[in-house]
Amino acid sequence: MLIRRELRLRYKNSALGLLWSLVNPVVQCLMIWYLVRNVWKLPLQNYSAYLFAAFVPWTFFSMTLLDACFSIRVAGPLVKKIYFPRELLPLVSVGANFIHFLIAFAVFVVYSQIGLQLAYGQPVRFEARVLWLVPILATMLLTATGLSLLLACLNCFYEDVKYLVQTLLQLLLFATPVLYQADSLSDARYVITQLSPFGVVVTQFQKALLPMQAFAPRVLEYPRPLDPKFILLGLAVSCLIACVGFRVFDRYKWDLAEHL
Amino acid sequence: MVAIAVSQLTKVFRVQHYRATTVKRALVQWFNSERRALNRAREQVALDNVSFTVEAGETVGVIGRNGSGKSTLLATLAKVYRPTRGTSACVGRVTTLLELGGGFHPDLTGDENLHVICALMGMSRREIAASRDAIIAFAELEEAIDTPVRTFSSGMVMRLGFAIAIHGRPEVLLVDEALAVGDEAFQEKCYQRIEQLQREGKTILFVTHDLTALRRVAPRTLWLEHGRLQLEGPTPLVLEAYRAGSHHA
Repeated sequence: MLIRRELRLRYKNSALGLLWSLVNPVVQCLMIWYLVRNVWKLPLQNYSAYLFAAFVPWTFFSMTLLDACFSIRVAGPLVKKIYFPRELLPLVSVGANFIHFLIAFAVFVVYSQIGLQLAYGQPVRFEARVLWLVPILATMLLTATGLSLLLACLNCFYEDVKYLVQTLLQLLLFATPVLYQADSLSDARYVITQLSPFGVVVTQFQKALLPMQAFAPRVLEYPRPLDPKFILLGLAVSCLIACVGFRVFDRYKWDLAEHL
Repeated sequence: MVAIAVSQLTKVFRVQHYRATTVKRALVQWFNSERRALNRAREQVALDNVSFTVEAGETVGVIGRNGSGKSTLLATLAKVYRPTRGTSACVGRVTTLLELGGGFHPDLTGDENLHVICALMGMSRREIAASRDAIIAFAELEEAIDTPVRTFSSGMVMRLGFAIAIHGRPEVLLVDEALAVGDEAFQEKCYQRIEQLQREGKTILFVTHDLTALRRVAPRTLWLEHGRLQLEGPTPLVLEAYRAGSHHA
């Protein structure tokens, strides 16, 4: 379809892009592994896998939202001269970043199976829980799409939205259990993080892929299992976000050409 | 069969001269009533109640002074803008050449831009692959096609743009003043292609200041002035009125 083609082209444009999207997660992965093993010296099994697993969807979110801000503004001349469904542009940023995500995910799988095997002799075993990845990824994509549409649109009218987004993402990074484990939060805080689609995706992504471990025996005696009700809530919220995103974009898409 | 139907088309741009382009400025304006007063939206009427139809296979020229709304008319027909009132519709696949290098990304090569624009026009993979060589050959850009568009001369940009527009197999072709930049030989090629499209029964609407070209290619002409359709009819007639009109002004 049209999107695939535009995607592949955008992709080619960041010439080294394809290679870089492999290098980036690999470097991240190695960094985390090194930190966990040699610097923090945490006694937990395979902690690096957990950290990495949280980073993969987070990177997708933050890169997609940032790219989305630029997506329409950058293509200004194109929008003013040719007719095509304007939604394509932010969707392209979602799509391109999703490909990066898949590559990073592949790196994760390789790392968790082979890398850890080589290093410690204990690869991560995937269980049936992994199937929950389907709604989790759906949530991820829907949230990203909805927000991308909104942001692309807003950034057209107000150029500094992209700076706001950068700052908000920093805050969000702390509000989402990426750098720390969700399980080390008290119940109330845990629920709060799970209410945000970002939080749900990141945490449940971890839980679907990796075995449960007690991270903070003082706070919680046993780790919280994968929680379907939050996943489904997240899915519902993300559907809402996507709908709102499309609606708003639809209303303003004709004005975009005039404001560029 | 009608290929282009424009009925009571009105396009009004709401222009705010001090529109806040950043959130920061928007906030500042919120608190500053003087600025707000200056910023009151002014309406600029680009098109005023324009109506005309073009039958399939017709070629119609559009003339008028700068600022008369010709480009807005074509852009609205190309669905870049939405009409404020009235309707504008084209039947069939529309390709456009609205601006020199419009839509070209300067850092992408000619080839990559070709792919992007063709894809956006709705051509499938196969169609693009099939047309690619023909487009490059028409534009005479075999050597330069793999360099960034940034390095193209304006003539090269125009050749590529025109080549893409006509190879999109359009039913309706909209051209906006973009032919002026080509050299005579290429312009000749363009007009020959246009004549070929005419023989194939395609509909063409083009804006030009080149009155000889108009006489050659378009049997019918529209004259726009200040957004209004001043006159419409056989080209020689309209041209005479236009000449007379512009001498008065």
